[in-house]
This record gives sequence, structure tokens and C-alpha cells, in this order.
Amino acid sequence: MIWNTDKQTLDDLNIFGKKGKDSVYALFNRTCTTGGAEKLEHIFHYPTTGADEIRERTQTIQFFCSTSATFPLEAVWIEVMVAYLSDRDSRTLLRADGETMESKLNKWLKADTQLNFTQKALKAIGECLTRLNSFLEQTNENGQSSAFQKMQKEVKSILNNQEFKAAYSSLVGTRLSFEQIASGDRFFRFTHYDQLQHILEYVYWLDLYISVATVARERKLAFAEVLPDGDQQLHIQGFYHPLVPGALGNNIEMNASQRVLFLTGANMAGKSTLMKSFGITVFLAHIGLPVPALSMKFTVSDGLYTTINLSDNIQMGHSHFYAEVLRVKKVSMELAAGKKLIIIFDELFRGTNVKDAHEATVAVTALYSELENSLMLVSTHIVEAADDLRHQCRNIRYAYMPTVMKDHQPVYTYVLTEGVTEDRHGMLIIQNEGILDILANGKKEKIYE
Amino acid sequence: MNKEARSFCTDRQTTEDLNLLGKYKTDSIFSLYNRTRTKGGEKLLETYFQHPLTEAAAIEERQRSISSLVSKALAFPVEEKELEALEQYLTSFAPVGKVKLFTEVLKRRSVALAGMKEEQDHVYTLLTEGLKALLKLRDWFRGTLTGMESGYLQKLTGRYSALLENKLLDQFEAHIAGDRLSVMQQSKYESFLRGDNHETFNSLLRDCYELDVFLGVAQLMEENNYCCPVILHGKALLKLKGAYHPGLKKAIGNDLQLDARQNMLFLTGANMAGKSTFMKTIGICCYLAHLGFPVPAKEMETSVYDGLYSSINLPDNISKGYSHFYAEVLRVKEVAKEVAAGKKLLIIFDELFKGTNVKDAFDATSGVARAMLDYKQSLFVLSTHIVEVGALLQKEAVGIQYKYMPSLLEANATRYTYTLQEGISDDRHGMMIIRQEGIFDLFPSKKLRYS
Repeated sequence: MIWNTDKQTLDDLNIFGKKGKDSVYALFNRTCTTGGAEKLEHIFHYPTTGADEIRERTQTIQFFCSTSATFPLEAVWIEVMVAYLSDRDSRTLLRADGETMESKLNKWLKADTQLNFTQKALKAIGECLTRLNSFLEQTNENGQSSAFQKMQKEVKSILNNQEFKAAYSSLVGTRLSFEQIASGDRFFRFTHYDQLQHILEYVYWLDLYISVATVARERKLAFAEVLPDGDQQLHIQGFYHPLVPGALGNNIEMNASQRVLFLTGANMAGKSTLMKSFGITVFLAHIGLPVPALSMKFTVSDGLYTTINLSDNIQMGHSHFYAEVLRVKKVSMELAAGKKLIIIFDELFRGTNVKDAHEATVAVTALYSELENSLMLVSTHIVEAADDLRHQCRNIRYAYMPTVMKDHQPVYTYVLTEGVTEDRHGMLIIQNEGILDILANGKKEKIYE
Repeated sequence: MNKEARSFCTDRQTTEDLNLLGKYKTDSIFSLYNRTRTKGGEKLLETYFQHPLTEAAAIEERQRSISSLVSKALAFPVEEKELEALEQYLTSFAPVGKVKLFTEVLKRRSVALAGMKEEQDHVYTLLTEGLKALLKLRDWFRGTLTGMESGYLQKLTGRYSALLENKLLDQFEAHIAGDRLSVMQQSKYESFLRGDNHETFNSLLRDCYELDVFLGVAQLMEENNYCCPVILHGKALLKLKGAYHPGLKKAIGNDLQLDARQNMLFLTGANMAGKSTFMKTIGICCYLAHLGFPVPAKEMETSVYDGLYSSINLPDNISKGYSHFYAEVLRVKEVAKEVAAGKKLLIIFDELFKGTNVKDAFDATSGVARAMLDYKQSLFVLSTHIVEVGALLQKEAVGIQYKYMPSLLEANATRYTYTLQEGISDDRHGMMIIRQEGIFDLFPSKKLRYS
């Protein structure tokens, strides 16, 4: 089953980012092969919901992380192999018999580009498979029966098949005779093509896992633990934004008695960054990748929806407010359909007047806190909403991002603190800019002077 | 009159808010007023739009010129290409004496004889096309314009009659279908354009472009029943009757009067009720009035201002690290400096300080409003979602008008009248929109509590 999320969420969390800019995907992508990068992109685009799959993936990455393995093959070999294997027209098959004078002359002059290419590709196959075989001999099984393990076993048995082994071992080292090239060509490109494809598929996954494991080791990422199915819950210790240098960690617990985290804080205190880090952590955990946190335990949810940088849609005639309403509606429909969701709303309903925003924030937050299939992180400027919610609901945690004043300059701690803050220093900023002083001392003109 | 010293103060934010400029935007005010038939006319209109007038006399003169062209059914007669040839000829070659010119022509034609014809051909085409344009202008001036009841046109034709009635033009007309001009003839005509008359021809061109602009504007005025603003001298005053946004098809007109006694309009209303549109209308009318152009209103009276600033669609500036709120603060500061400098300004602020929490927005909006109110030489238009600011100002400040754009609830749908009403509106139907979308109906078990 595909995990539920959408473009708005991926954009909010900067999962893929804009070309050339930092993104979560780019952070993990240290793959050597194009195929590996494609596999990684695929799991980012189509997250899975199966708890078993997530566990398997986590364990595999953990395994490579513990062995500190590096990718054993050279990317060039793979590129050459892929290019070589892509042409399977039997007319291009090299034939050992029926050589003409012309082909002999070309061969002698080394002018037959196809022959040269085939030779190069076969040598790459020989090097690649030999190296892979010795890599697999050194790699211990990690004792689980995951899909990757199965694949690995299969590849091992292919590589150790007598005929197959003889075929690739003979390609290493020496110069190949024309007869060797012709028979190797037939063997790998036609008769044993499928086996080679199996091996390539495995190599891509290996590339991906080693790439992710390297990142996890370097950045000291944690591996999230999947809890058995049951009440939705999340326990994250010390999570931070992986793309913000020196980001500080925070803790979040969510379960049936704390379904909602109600977040307040002044402008620039780090509310949005906290929400994004939370979203990224949850997202990564659900695709089985290591998370930017100290530790994490969670039950698998069916999806993640965020609303952080919602823009109005003037072309469709939607005001900012209406765009927000439609967004809430979309999420509500998913919830009503019984999906277990994790929801992040940053400054909901900022596009309308205070009373409406207040009322709507309270109504939506209270509603979501009562549902059994949602965990929500919501932030707002309207601190008064907290008072109403305290009367109505019991499973809301109130926390804020604090601001400390030092010499009339706000300093931010970025540490989540219990309670609701009324911190505000909009007026302070206005005072610092001296706007009212400018106006107080200008050249005023009175009436009828 | 020193134009440079007193240019109209405005900025990019304002012109973009009001969508004033922009040749390539079909819905800009410039495009609406641009009915020119010549490139020179279009360029001139652009400079008009970029430099509003700050002298009442200059504004009134332009207004008179345009009004005098209304319902004259005139169309500028010269093809763009021909006029361009004349302009190109006049700007490419400096004025020069007869003898020197003759040698120049002789040299050009000798080179042409030797086979290198390009230069001679080029100059020859410009010259003959340019002269043809002059002939057309002469005929038009002579035949159509002279009899017109328009002081502007009479002045114009009078200014150039001597020049255009020159016998050289008659000679050229007689020759037009004949052979190629001889060396003597060519240098005679060239010296006609480039001799003592050179400057006059240049000013003729400029006046033609101006006429082109004015004819277009006059036509627009006539088609849409735009009015010519009455320019007042003295204290700040702005009076609009039936003013509407010129870019809208079925816009509804509204009235407004601001003066030194009540120099601030406090505007409220629900989302989508038309607040922003009305604020833009005020800005556009004021700007157009300072161009000396007719405005989309039934009546308008205005004094001349030193400038116009608006902040309607203020974006945040992420690349500079400004949050939306900080961008607003900086904008207000920029405008506050101009106001404090004692200039006579029209200031338009839509939803000030919407990027921060309510209390800050409340304090900031009321603080800024009260501080600005003291500048009676300037007029202010403010809108806000925070109606409580209005209640506070009503208690504590004098000189503010309170109006709102109403929205009526009718059988679960909202109707907007787009007609200003007295007072402060706390109309809001955000919750209604949410209910209409049926969000709470999705959860029948919880429905009772929320509906």
C-alpha cells in the first residue's frame, strides 16, 4: 500500500527541493550508480506503509552501518554494463565463424568499434562480478529473511554457479581472444541475460543501502523502532532539522492521551523549523530510513499531511483563506475515510480576521483531537485559542518556542517548553525601527493654522 | 518651473500594487490608456506615466488639451513607418550649412556611382519617406485641423503653418511621381530638413506624438464617460463620486471625501467584499489625475500632491531574510519618513501588519494610525481585519472616517454589494465558508457539537 502524502507536503518539508538546492533526498543520496539513485528516489516518492517492510529496511541499513561497508564496485563498470546490455538485437551478436577479410582487417587495425566496445563491456562484467563475489564472501548474513536477504542469496548462488563463474572469471586480466569475446557476448547478453539483470537489481539496492548507511554513520542518525500495531503513537527524542547546521534537538511524545501538540511562539522563534523537522523525521521513519534524532519509536501511520507554506491560488480565484479551508477539507476527508494520519498545520487560518481564525482553529483542533486516527501538530499566533481548547479537550499538549530578551534584543533558545507563550515583540521591532519617533517629530500641519 | 526639483514621489511597490505601468501587461492602466498609433506616441505615454505632474497649471493645461479633442472623431493620419523615417532622418544627421551639405550629398552619390550604394539608398529612402509624411501632415493640418474648435489644435496648427506651407514641399509633391531627385534637388530638400528648421521639425515630431497620445486618451474618455478631475489649490482634499476600477467590466462606483478635517479613511469589510479593489481605485484615480488624464469616475476634485504610496500586496523578502511582518515594518518606516518630511501625500495601506499576532497588530496599527493622523497635509486610507482598532480610534481619535464594504448573507450564500457604507463592519463568515465546505459533516458522530 502506498503511503498517503502529497506535493504540498513534500514541498513544505523540502524533501526533493529545487534543483541545485539542499534537500532531504540530496542529503541521503550518496549513491554511485544511476540505478541506485533511481531506487532511492522511488522510495522517497512512494513510501510504503507495511511495518514489516520498514523494519526490514531499517535492519538492513543498520547492518551496513555496523559493517562500515563501502560500495565495492566502480560506477564506470555498471554504466558500461547497462549500456552494453541495453542492445539485445540478435543481429548484433558477434559470430566466431564466417569472418570476412574485411572484418579481419578491421580487427587487426583495431578499428572495429563494436568489437572494442564488447570487449570493454565484457571486461567490466568480469571485474564487476569477481569483485562482487568476493564482497559477498566477506559479508556475513545478518540472519533475517528480508527481501534484500533473499535477493542476496540468489545473487550468491548465481555467482557460484560453476558455468557462470567460469564464464566471468575467464574475462578478468588477460587480453581476450576474438573467440572468447564472441562466446562471452552470447553468454552474457543473450543466454544468461536474466541472471545478469538480477545481479544488477541487487547491486542498485546494495548501492542505496550502503549510501544511506554511510550518511547515517557520518551524521550519527538514529534508527526508528516500529511499535506493534495498535493505538497511534510516536516517541521522538532529540529530533532536529537535518539541513540546519547546529540545529538543537527537541522531544515529542504523542499518543491517545496527547493527540495534539499546540505550539505557540513569537515570530522567528523557530516554530516553523520545529514543525518541519518533525515532519521530516516522521517521513523518514515511514520509509525506513534513519532519522535525525537521538531515538524514535512509532506505530506506522497511513499518511502525513502538512500545511506550512500554503499559497493562495489567484488563478483559481482562491483567496489565501479559501485555500486553507480546502486544505483542511482534503485532510478531513482522508480522516473520515478512516486513515491514520499525522497532520501538521502551521498558522492555520491566518488569511482571515481574528475572530474567525480563533473560532476555526478551536473547532478544527478540538475535532481532530477527538478522532482516534490522527496525531496533530498545530501552531498559531492566536494564543487565546488555547484557553477555549483547555475547556473542551483533555488530550492536548501545549508547548512553545521561547524568546528571551537580552538588552532589548530578542534571543531564541529553540528549546520546546511546556505551556502557552504570549511572547510578542512586534511592537519592539517597530520601536527598534523608530517609526513612531519619526512620526512624532515630523513636520505636521494643523488644520486652519 | 523646475521639474527636476519637484518630481512626484512614488515607488515600485506602489506602481505594482496599482498595476499602473507595464507595457506588456494587457491589464495594466498604461495598456488601458495606450491607444497610440505611433511608436513615438507610445514612448511619450510611457514617460508621462513615469513622471506624473506636480504643478496644477501643467495638469490643467494637459486636461484642457485632451478635453478639447473629445468627440472630434479625429484619427492620426500618418503611417507609423513614414513618421519613423522622418524621425530617423532628423536624429541621424546633425544640422549643417548648405555648402557643406551639398558636398556631403555629392560625395555620397559619387560613392554610390562607384557601386557602393547602401548609404545613399538608405538616406534617400529616409528623406523621401520623411517628406511624404510631412506632406500628409500638412494636408491634415490644412484640411481637417484648422477648422476645429479646439484651442489646442489651433495653437498646434498655427505653430507649424509657416513651416508646412513652405513652397519646397509643394515642389516635392509635384515631383513625387517623377524621376529620382538630382544631386541639386536632394541637397535642397535635405537642407530644408537639416538647415535652420531642424529644431522646429523635431518639435513638430514631439507635438505629433503628443497629439497621438491625446487623441487616444480623448477617445477612451468619450467611450467610457470618464471625467476630468477638478484641480484644487490649497489644503489637501480628495473628492470622488462614482469612482470605479477601470480594469473591471461591471464595476460599481463609490464616493469618498477626504480633507484636512478628516484626513483618514478607516476601511473594514469581510474577505472578498471589495476593500482592496476600492483602495486601488482611489490610488489609480489620484495617479491619473496627476497625469492630467481623465479618471474612471463621475466627478473628481483633488488638490495636487507631492506623492502617492501604497502597500497592498506586500511580499516577504526571503532572500533578504525578512519575514512578512518585518517587510511590513520596513515599508511603514519608509513611508513614515516621507510623511514626517512634511510632504503632501496620499497613503494607502491595505491590511497593515497582518504578518504578526493580533495584539501586536492591534497596537501597531492603532499607534501608526494615530501618529499619522496629525499630518493634516496628507491623506490616509487604511484597511484592517482588526475591527477593534476601529472601536479604539472612534473613542480616542478625531478626524477619521469609518466606512465598510458590506457583505450580505442570503440563503447560505454571501452577496457583496461593493457599495461603501458608513461605519465599521465586523462582518465575517470564515466559519460559514468552513461549514459550507462540509468539513464537520464528514464526521457524523461529532457533528452535533460543531454545527
